[in-house]
Amino acid sequence: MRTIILIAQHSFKELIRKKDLYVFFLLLVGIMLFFSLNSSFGVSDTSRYLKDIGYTLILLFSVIITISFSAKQIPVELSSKTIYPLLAKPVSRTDVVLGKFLSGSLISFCSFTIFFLCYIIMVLLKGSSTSIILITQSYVLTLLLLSLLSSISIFFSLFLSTGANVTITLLLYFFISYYNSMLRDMLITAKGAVYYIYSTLFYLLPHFDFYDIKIRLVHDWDPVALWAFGSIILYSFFYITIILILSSAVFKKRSL
Amino acid sequence: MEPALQINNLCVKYGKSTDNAVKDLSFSVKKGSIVGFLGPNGAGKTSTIKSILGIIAPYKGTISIFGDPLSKRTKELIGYMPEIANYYNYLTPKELLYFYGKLFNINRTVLRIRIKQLLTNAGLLSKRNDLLKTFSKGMLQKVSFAQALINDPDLLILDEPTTGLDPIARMQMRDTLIELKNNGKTILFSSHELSEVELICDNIIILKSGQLVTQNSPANLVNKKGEHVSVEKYFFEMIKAS
Repeated sequence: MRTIILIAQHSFKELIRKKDLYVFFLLLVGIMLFFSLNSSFGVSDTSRYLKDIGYTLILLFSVIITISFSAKQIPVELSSKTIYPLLAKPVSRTDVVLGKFLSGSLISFCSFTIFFLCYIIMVLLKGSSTSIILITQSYVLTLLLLSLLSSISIFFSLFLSTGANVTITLLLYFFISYYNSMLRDMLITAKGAVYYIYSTLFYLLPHFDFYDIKIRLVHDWDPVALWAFGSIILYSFFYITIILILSSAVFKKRSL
Repeated sequence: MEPALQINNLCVKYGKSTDNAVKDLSFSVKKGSIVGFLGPNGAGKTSTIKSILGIIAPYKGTISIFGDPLSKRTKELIGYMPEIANYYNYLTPKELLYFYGKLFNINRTVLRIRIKQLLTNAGLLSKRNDLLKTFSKGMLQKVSFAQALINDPDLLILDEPTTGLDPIARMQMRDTLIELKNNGKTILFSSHELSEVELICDNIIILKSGQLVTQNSPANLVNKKGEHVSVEKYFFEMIKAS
């Protein structure tokens, strides 16, 4: 565990020193300010609108940061050949995969936490009230979603170029987020071989929709039931573990 | 005396390739010696080194380090300097050495002293807080050499260590290697600088097409006529003949 944390710490430090991240921060702050200072579409009470668009933006930016940063972690180590002195130390390939996953998750946690704090401040300044439980739930669920995306991105980085990895992971995220309910409906009515294809897809693909509680946040609905919240946490840990085990197995087989 | 490194019937191949990068290679390296690992490009030197370090798994053969098979514990006895490594651009040499040192679980106080000493020896103490992206190739080679020594290894494996170094730095590195040898360390280094090998090595190993051509002492190298020859002449004769 110590080795994994060390790899994560040092990768995190390097990422923070690169300027890429700050571009995202500035861009997001600019967009948020624009929306908060303008009364768009002629609507006078913009607090709900701001909650919706603000949350969508911080989620989108966090997803892009997570995927693009995680996708680069192992390929950069391979292309710069720093993987050799690293593996020559008492470090296993599994340590590298887990360390890189942890640093990818850490960078996404940090950026999302900053974005989320800005978002909450902006919402409060607009005079809107939101349940603290709901805020906590949406924060935790988004962190889990970002970890899941980081693990998927790390996994794809072992086969694909960085560009292809980022594109495919983003497409997978948007496709599943928007079409998973449609797949569920199709599964209910499907029969025979089609049913098996749909059910395999439905259970195999990650359920990004589980993590989306934006609508509750925007409309001040009740928080997610505790059992459901706990189940999503368990589901995330299970899914991430499976992906990291697969990543480690693939990386161990890879010729270096 | 038990050898520092013993390789028996090592075979290495990459992926699904039917051609072996290393074929049935056997040799040993005596404790406290400097051994030059020579061969033309593609001879299998780097593949052998990667196998010794556990970076690639040989499909046949055994490797033992100080009598034990490769494990996390034996890795702690090895220092490795790669041929080329573009070390993390956004770290300083001090941070890089600290990171590598912590991977060996070296005590913080000991590590700080060692980093200072290694950077002083490399002539980079004043640059300790500069980002590595500002370093020249030669400076990066010195950092690379320093990271190989961070765990005070008993077996030092160097892949083309003098590439990119100026003549003064090369001489300093040769002196350091001899000093390390005098302190009981074992050194295996690959190089294309045959005159350098001749100057410091107790033994040379020549590979060609993944196979051992010869293992001998530079003092005992003789040509077909029985005359003593330099490492360079011997190397060319052996490579042509095999």
